[in-house]
Amino acid sequence: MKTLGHILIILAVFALVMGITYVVVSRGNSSASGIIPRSGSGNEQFSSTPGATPGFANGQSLQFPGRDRNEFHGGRGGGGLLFGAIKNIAIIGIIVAVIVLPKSWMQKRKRTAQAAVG
Amino acid sequence: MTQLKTKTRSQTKIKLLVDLGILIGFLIAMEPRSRGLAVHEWLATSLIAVLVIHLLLSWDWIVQITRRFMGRVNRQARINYILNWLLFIDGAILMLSGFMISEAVMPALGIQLPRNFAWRGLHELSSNLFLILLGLHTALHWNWIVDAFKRYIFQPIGKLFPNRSRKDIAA
Repeated sequence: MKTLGHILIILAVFALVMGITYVVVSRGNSSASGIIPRSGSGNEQFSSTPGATPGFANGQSLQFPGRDRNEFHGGRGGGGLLFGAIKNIAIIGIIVAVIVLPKSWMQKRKRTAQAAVG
Repeated sequence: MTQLKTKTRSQTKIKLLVDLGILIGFLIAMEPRSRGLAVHEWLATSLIAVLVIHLLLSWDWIVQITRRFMGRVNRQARINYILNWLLFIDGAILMLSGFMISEAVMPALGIQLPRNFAWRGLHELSSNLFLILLGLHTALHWNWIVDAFKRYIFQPIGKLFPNRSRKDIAA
């Protein structure tokens, strides 16, 4: 029962943060220019050209800057995962090294200084 | 006293396993192009449950520091607490923005959401920030990680090869 209460507290705070973010982002984009209905939602009847994104002029389609989300569907296989995982582990490793190494070096120096005084 | 020690030990073991699971899950989820969008989305959604377990295992510490935050708390615990909140908030933003641009989880649940450029940008930004915060979180718990690895992974493996360990000690 106690654990269930804790879970509910965590989920409530999680939902609160999500709610605040949703309100902030929605207000920031309240002008309709950035909001495009998802295809299949019933609004695509307005686009007369096949392949055109609803809300855009004829023939134009929705393009995200940088990576296209459609490329995710195919999958690149294990090589991509391995490379990406190594890259992310390397980033975490660098951050850990930048914080842990100077800290342990300072602790060693402090201990040496204390031993010298003692 | 012995019971308390045993409880702490088993909790540390569970914590280590949960944290390893989170790290592996996060590393796979961070690469949507390699395993496909559906795997990325379902794995990330399931990570919510594992993160709740992670928080439940640290519940006593969270309550203790929350109560004493304005009073006497050592500097590292205070930094750790603030960092954990940032990680939690960023995790919530990451999940929400992920749900808002979802192409597998939300349609599977029968939910259609309007497309918004802002959510995609926010998702990328929060995922990059999450990686950095995760690095900082790992750095602040480095001693615990090293101790737990020694106790629950390296020592049991070392016990599997007792002769070699003795030789190493003799050398």
